[in-house]
Amino acid sequence: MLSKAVIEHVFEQYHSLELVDVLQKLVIKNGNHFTLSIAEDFDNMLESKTEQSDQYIIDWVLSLEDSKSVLARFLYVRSIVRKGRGYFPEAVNHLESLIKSVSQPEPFLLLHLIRLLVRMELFSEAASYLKQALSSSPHYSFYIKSEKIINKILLSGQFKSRKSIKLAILGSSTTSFLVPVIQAYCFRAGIHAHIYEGGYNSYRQEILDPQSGLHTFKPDAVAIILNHRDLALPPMNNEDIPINSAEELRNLWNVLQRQSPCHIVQVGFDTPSYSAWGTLEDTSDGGRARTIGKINSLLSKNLPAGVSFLDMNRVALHCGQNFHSSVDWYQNKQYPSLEALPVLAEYLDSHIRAAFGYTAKVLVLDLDNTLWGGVIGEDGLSGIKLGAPSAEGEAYLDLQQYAKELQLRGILLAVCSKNNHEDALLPFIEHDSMILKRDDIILFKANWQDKASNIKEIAQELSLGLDSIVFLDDNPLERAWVRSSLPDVIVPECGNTPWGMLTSLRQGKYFESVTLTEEDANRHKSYKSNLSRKEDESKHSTIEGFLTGLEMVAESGSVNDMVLSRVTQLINKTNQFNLTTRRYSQEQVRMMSESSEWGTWWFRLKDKFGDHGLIGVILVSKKVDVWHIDSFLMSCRVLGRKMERSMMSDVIRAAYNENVKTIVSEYIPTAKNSLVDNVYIELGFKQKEIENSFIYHIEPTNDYECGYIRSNDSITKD
Amino acid sequence: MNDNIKIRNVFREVFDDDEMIILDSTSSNDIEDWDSVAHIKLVLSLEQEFSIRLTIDEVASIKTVDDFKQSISRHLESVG
Repeated sequence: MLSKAVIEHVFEQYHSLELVDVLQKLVIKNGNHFTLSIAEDFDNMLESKTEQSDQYIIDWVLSLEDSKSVLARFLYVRSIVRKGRGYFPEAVNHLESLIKSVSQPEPFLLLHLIRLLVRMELFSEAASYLKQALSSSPHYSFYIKSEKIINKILLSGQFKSRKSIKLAILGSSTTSFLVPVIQAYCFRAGIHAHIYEGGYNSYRQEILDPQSGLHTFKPDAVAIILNHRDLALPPMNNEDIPINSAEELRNLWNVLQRQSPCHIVQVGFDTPSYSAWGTLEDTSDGGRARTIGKINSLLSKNLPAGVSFLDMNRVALHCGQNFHSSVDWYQNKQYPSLEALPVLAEYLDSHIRAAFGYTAKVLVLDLDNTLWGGVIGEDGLSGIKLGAPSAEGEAYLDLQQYAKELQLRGILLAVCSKNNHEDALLPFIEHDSMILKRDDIILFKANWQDKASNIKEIAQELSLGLDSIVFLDDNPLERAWVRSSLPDVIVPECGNTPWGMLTSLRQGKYFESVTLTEEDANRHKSYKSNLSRKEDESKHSTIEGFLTGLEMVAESGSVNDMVLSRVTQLINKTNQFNLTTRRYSQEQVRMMSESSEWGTWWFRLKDKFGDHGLIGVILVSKKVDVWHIDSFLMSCRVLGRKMERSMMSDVIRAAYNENVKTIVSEYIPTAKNSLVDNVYIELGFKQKEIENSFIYHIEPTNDYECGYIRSNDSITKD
Repeated sequence: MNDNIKIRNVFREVFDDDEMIILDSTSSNDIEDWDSVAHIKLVLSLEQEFSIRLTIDEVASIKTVDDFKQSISRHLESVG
């Protein structure tokens, strides 16, 4: 293995032709066994020689173009980059092929390519490599180096973000170093974050003063980052401290949301690693560690709408010793340490994704060497490793257990495996150790088709977007294939061991959720009966007969606290049947529901197969004589059963009863909602003749009805 | 000197300016973006590049590129 000392020695000892000769040998011998930092050192030496116009070296480096050695090709690329802009395209080609030839490219190597692409203003290509680099959770210094690059990509307008949010970071310690990291994590998730940093340790003033920078910024989300030092706890305390500290923060949340409706991520207090009184701090009632535990539990208990709690001790657990750095604290008032920031940002990002509805919904699993060790088609039922006594076998069980627990929370599980269907099913039916049963798997694709096509089918059959799918596979080739053919699918770089796969699944926090609704827990059942409904659908000869046969009953009501979290979830998650795709925070929805200028409806659908739960929302902005339909959306679970007509009939009849003259509606096209481009015409609205816009209107009547769905009038709008 | 090139490249990376010219006398007054946060970012990146750790005093007193060079070479000597 090449070392820095060797390189330095060679450059000191040899000159001109002799140096070239030695370097050539070094590169051939060590060309594929070196670290990036050694290669960069090497390159720095060459750069200095080039600046001294050492023609021997200049010619030698240019001769490395066709070398088989990775190191040589890297040095060649760097040298032509130095020659200037005209050489960039060639450098990009070389770097790309070099990166493809290594199995897991280092993020800092990718950064060389990303920087070039940005210089050439190829921003979307740069963005996709940057996402790849970020997916391997690089060291903190990566975020320093990528900060300006990310800003350039965001400013270019060529980055297609799923969402743009205004995020405020308030803290009792320095927050400046967190900004580039959280920016990068949001970027990785396709979110363009506009970030406001509160004044140093002035989170109270920012929240309490209605004229503060925070309130002027009008944040969509606010992170409040505090630490144990803020509490200034002595080893032993008086019993009132926990209640008082928690009360103060809860009161601040309230003030903040009244002034600026937003989602709040409250970071909990960490337990300090020091304890002068030792275990007494843990065991005595007023002990320091025990008091912090009490405060955290008071903070996280019965969280109000639109607030989530991030347990800092989880971040600490993840970082271990590196969580705290004395130098960072005393020198920069940075807490936790700089090295811990990527982990903290990962958690913050998962809360933001969850709060705004960008949570994955399906876990697609490979089988052989992913759910069990070995290949079922070759090793047979007794040959595969699953459960004790095999160490690996036990780890595969843990992975299955994790998937099962996700499923219990409403995450759908699907299988995508290159296998004979019967072979693949065998363990699910006959292996005693299997935790996952055939019934837990919503769709089972075991065939010889390529995996990208299978995953596409899974998305279509479940009526879900590709970006709500996470694909877990031990095989790097399959991962690369799915990643390149379906870039929206989330493919964790998970290695090929069961514990590696489990860790990457946990760390990615793709399925994070900040609230648990009844619908979540029943989702698997609901999709399941939906699939059998689809089968039923094909058995019925006419759609009318099928719809009548479903015995559908709809319920509706105006939005209240009981349904608030589910309604917000739908507003933020629904992409396809969504006429305007306007997103609102829980706070905003609550304010609408309490306002006389708004009409807010939720809808629920049941049929003979089961209860679909709350599946639709309509928000109406009411003016005298005219109602504007601000939002009209429906879960894809109930597509194709005229539910939209039943929903609209409730609104139209309500408008008729309030003597409204016209209902105006609009359709705002997005990449995902072309499904509904004709919905208003189908519902009997008339289109206004305005070019390039989709505005419709209808006159309220009292005989607008949906033939197939009976309304359950027991719940009416109050 | 190779170290000069390394230091220059770190500056170029942190400030994302490929053509940035760095002189020994260049100080935070000459580079608009060189504020206290950027200063720590430079410190961190240079520490990583040279596998050293500067002291709190050094970090506080460094004002110019030359100050960085002096501190870095002091640390490299004490290691080597």
